[in-house]
Amino acid sequence: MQGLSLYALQQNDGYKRGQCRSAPAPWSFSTGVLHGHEGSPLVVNGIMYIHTPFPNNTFAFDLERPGEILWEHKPKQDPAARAVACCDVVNRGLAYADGKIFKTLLDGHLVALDAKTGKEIWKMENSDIKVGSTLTIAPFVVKDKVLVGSSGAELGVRGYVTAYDIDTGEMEWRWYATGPDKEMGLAPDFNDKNPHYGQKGLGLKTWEGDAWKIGGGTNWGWYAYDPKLNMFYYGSGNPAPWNETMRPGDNKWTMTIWGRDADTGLAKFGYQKTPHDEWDYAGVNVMMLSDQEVNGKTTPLLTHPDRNGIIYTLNRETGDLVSANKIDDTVNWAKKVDLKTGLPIRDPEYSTRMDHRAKNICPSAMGYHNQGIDSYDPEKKLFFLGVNHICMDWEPFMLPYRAGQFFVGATLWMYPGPKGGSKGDLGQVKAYNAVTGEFAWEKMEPFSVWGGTLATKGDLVFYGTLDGFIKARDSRSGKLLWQFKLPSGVIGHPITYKHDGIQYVAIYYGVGGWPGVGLVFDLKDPTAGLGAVGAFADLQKHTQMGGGVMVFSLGGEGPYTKMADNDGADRTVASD
Amino acid sequence: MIVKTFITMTRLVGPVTVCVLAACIVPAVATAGDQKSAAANSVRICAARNDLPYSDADRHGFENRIAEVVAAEMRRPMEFVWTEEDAIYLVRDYLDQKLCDVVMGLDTADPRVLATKPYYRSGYVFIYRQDRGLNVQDWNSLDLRKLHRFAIIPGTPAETMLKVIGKFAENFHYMHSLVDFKSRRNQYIRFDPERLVREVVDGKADIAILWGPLAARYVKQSTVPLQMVLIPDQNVRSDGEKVAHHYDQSFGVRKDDVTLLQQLDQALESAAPEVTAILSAEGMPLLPLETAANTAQAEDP
Repeated sequence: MQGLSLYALQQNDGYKRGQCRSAPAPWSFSTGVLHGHEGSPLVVNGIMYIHTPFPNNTFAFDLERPGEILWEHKPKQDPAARAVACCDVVNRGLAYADGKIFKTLLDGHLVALDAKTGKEIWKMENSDIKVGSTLTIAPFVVKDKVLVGSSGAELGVRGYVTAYDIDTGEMEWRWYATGPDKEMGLAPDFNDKNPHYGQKGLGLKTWEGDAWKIGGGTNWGWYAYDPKLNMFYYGSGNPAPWNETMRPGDNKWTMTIWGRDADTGLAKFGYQKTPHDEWDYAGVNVMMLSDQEVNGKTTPLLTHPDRNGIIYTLNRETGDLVSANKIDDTVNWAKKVDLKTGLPIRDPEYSTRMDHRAKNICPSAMGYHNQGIDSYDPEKKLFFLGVNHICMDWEPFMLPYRAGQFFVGATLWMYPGPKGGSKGDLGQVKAYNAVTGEFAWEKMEPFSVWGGTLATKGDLVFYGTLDGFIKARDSRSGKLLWQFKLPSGVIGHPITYKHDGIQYVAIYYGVGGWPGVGLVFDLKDPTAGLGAVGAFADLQKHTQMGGGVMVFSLGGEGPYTKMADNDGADRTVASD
Repeated sequence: MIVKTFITMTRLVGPVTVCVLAACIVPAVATAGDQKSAAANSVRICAARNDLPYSDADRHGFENRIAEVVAAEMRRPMEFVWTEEDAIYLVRDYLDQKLCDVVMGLDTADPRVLATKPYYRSGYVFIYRQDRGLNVQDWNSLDLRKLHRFAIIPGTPAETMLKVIGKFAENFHYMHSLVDFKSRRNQYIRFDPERLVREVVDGKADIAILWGPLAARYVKQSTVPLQMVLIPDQNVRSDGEKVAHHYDQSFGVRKDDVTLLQQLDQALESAAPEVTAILSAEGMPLLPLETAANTAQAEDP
């Protein structure tokens, strides 16, 4: 859904429960690239656009004949990008506006392509690879601007969001996550509606010395846009360095839900979810917009399931906190969020400070919710969440070397949370009401539901799992109705679209990302990958790397089922 | 027998160059056949393969050579027990696991081990090209404040002091570039002193601030003349706490290995001239060991 406001997919009525039957997928395409395939394909005006991890290729297919690549864009990049990227070389997708396709490259560029031909129209360097700054985010179009974020907090990149003119690529503005107010782009009435969130000067005052310059707060997740309020929303990520003793203070404005003006980018509100983060609960997850009745009044809402295991719902006009509930009651680093102050009430037992050994911290550093995009059913007023159920042990250590040199680190062990049972389930799917705070239903999954969910009007919710299933559940009860084993695990989210009267669901497969690090890089030490290797050691028994898109439809109908009687050839003849 | 005879001979003629000594000693212990008979009495030295200038698998490190001298002095065969990991793990993963018995270079004050009397004392240094026309004597030097790129190793006093003078943040990504941005959380990455000195030679860094013994041979080998200035040991951080820049170095053994410690101490004392020769040949600044007596070394037996 990149490029549009993130009202959750609420498409059509083609898919109804009771019609789920095993059917062959009408078509599929292997991207030719391995590593984690995040995000989703983009379908606009009968064309499907597919993106890949590094080297960030793009393919376009006419949905009339998806057996033929309409055009491809295979950019040349600085190979240094791979080495500098912190995590798997993923990319979260494309955006479309005004006859152009927008994409990011790992080596820090933003590119605009002609949507018809794939030719480059303009290309801007948004991030300097030489300072460890990369790009994995999907661009996001807001009116006449395309927005991109930043990556590389680990290497001291100070997070920023930038807007470029969609026609010319000219930079309109750039606002940082830390530092002086004028560099962060705070509106004069910033947080006037909620002064207790903090207002002036905190991008400096909540840091020691000039630590804010390497403070992180990169944003590589998802944006949302409200055309009526003329505001866009996103979350800034974790503070840097990772070792929290090096950055005393609240570290504002990392880990913050931002509400900014869509023209100037100036921030009307900022709500920091995890002050002085210790756990790496990067705050960049999906921002889902809905309008719901709160205390008898229709209220514009923003719902955001954070890594820290709390799902926040704010009034997206004012920034007021409406609710902040645990995604699962096993969250323990915070006892709860005080709605009056907006502050989490921390439990020191589950702190991951460098002088404290802790066990059974929930969520683990991966979070109970990662970068997947979830969905919303406005009739049921339910959000369908793809959840991780992983907790961790934490043991900091200090190794002296010599001549006063020492190394400080921590060993992490990750494992299924308390509800994982004897099978050690690592994931959940849940249906959540943001206003009542209740869960309509929840189901355990053997592996994390890393990529996100898709809800349809026919009472279905689709999602992919890390071991490679695409599943459909009854969105009223959570009952499993259909599943299919894909060639590789899923870390992206499904989409749905209609073409020629047929309703399709499409999803990427291709395991990778943080959970796949052991598999992708062939790591054996369970504490490697910050514990991910141990947590997902089993994953290798169920899936290996792959990369592609699989498209499903009811009864397996598609562009080729009708042509079965022809010679099947789907070529554009030269004489055309 | 051959070993003993040779040692007697060298005592008569005075100190010999280490290379000759090493060439004689090594064959006596390195062969597989010898190792079995040597095992019972041999001194097992914990050693890293990739820890120059201290140690490498070819024994070109100055601590490799000192270990050989000391073992010969002890009249015991010696074997290096090579770690697969970086040297920083030697105490935790090798010495404490009883896979070997001696770590060659540790701070005398290291609380994890029983340390010999220090066999050298040195300090952190500023390293810069002589043709830069700089005058950098200590952390207050004005010329230092004008610089931008500092080749330092994280977790050292240089990092602490760089923060004190407000230069750490701006230097952060350059520092990470020195290991090609490979340093991930929880993952110790060795910074190569040869590379850091080369950054100064090549003009990519304005200055390097390193532990003297770590950098000395590379400064000495440089075809471009470099200045190496010992930093005085009177530095404090923002909260007033002292940031030590001079350190005594010792051999370390497990805390209950008192007998071995005594043997090492005796050997270090008798072999002092050879040991000092090896250290001097490196080119490191050597500070008087007498001053160590003034700084209370509580762990000394």
